[in-house]
Amino acid sequence: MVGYIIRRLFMGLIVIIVVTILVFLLIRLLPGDPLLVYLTQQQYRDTLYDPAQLAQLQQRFGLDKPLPVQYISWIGGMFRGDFGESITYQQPVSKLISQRMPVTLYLSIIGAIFATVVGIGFGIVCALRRGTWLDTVLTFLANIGITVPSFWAAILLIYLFGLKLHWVPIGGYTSPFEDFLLSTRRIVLPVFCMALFGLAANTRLTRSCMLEVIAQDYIRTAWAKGLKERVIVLRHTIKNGLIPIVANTGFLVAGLFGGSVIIETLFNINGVGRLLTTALLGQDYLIVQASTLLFVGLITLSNIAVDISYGWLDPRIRYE
Amino acid sequence: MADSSLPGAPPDEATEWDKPEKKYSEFKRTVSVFFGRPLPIVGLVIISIFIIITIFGPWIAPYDPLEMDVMNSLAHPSSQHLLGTDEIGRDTLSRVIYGARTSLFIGIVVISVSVAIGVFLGLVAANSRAAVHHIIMRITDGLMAFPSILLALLVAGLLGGGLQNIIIALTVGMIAPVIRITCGMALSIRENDYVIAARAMGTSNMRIMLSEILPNCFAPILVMMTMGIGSVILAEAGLSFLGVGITPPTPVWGRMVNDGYKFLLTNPEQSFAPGLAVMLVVFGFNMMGDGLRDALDPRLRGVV
Repeated sequence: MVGYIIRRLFMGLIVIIVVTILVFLLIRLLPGDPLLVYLTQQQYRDTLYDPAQLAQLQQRFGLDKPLPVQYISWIGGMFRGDFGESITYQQPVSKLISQRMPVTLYLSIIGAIFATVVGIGFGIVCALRRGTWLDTVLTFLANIGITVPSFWAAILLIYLFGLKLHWVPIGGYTSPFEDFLLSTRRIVLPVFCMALFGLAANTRLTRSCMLEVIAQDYIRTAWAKGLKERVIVLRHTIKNGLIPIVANTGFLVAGLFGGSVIIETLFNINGVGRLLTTALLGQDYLIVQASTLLFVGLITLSNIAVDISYGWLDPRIRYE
Repeated sequence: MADSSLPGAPPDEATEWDKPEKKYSEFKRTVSVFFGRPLPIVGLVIISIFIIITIFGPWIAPYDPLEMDVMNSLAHPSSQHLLGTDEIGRDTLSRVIYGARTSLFIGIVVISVSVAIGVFLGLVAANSRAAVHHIIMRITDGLMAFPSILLALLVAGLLGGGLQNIIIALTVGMIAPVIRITCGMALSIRENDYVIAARAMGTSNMRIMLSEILPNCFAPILVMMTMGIGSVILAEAGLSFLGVGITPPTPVWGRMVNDGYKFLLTNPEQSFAPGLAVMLVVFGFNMMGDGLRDALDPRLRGVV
């Protein structure tokens, strides 16, 4: 097991290095010069513009050095918590992100718990009551859930619960430490929309994995030796049927972060997802770079955690 | 197995499954499983309707999707405009119909390109020495760590809008899973006896790849393509919703949802209709993909 964990950590480290290179190159190699954007914005303010300014700015942001040097200094800065200074906000990127990260994390963690608990619950119910109307309805809803665009689901729910029924306020965010009730009322819709795809995918996956396990010989043996249904379901079916769900958690986290980009923008929630979208549209590349790396890094870390727990749950994986 | 699963089969051939047959036909079995359950048929019907709309759009649409009628802006649904009109008086139904063209076109092109590149790289990775294998697969791992919408958003945001750039962006977001699945399949198929036999007969590596391994990857790739079109259309809608998609005034569903959002209280159909279209198409492709997967999966032979 220790060897397995070390191997996984090593692989994860390689993935993280690859990811940093991808993010770095993606932003450097694509067209669109952020400094020109910055200068044209400045021009509106003080109509001064001379070519020397461009060179000066290039030096200030370190863009005049060769790519490998830029990469190394970027990585070096990252270890000191220095992600550079935002061009549009005129503030350190690390400050901008650390202000917004708790919001995104809070929404994502609640969304992940919701999607996992409810999704697995629905899946188990469907598999155990296969062919009944309950199974038909839940499976159909799950098929809708993996299909519906999250922003459209959000708009439907805003229309129904916000504009028509006035049950929840629309948009914005309140910290749960300030006013727990208002905060909860505000995050219900965004969290649901972010978690919808993961919830539906979990339901489908749990259902099919459970059905596969139910068809196994050892389940028939368990019935034949006269075990109670409760014992068979809890000890034999669920325990084995849920292993693939654990493997899917990495995709769940990726889906939540990906969804936060759209949902935070739609609900006017000041999280990292919205920061990323606005920075991308305003070509503020240091923010884009740092927040992308943050998301992808967290996803990679959760993938490593999943891999390790997977090896612990299913000993066959360890001896590959 | 491989040529038994060609798409577009006439459905009537399969209804005779119950009667004893002289010759076992994998093709007939596949078709009968696919048409044996309701959801794949629903999916097929939805997709067929949208393909008809795409091809015959100009004849079906009641108005020109770009024609403005400012006097008649934000009209409510009526017999003249079945889904009302938008902010500058363009007919919403016509715009939804024309939106199908953009969506399906992007979906099909992106999936074809990413499967072509992904399958090629996957086969290369499965069949080459450790160094090349590791380089391709570690880059794939890196790309897989990005949520595909985020990757597409980054590439599209940095390249700028426009049809070509959106296709590139979505392809970058789709390619990694194709590489990983193809490589995994190729590695497991390579262990089969018939591949070992071919190798013992002195068949070249290249030929084994093309005539033994690739045909056996066909069924999973077909399923992946069907499901993939749905996810591409969903991702494209997300991009254009965020304003980094196809440039206006071309009608695209995602942007129409966003444009209509401003008038949600007075004209909800402006947002609802294009979103519903996205949902229906994606649902159609997903259900068809599910049906194909069950029909083509050899492990389910005799079970369904």
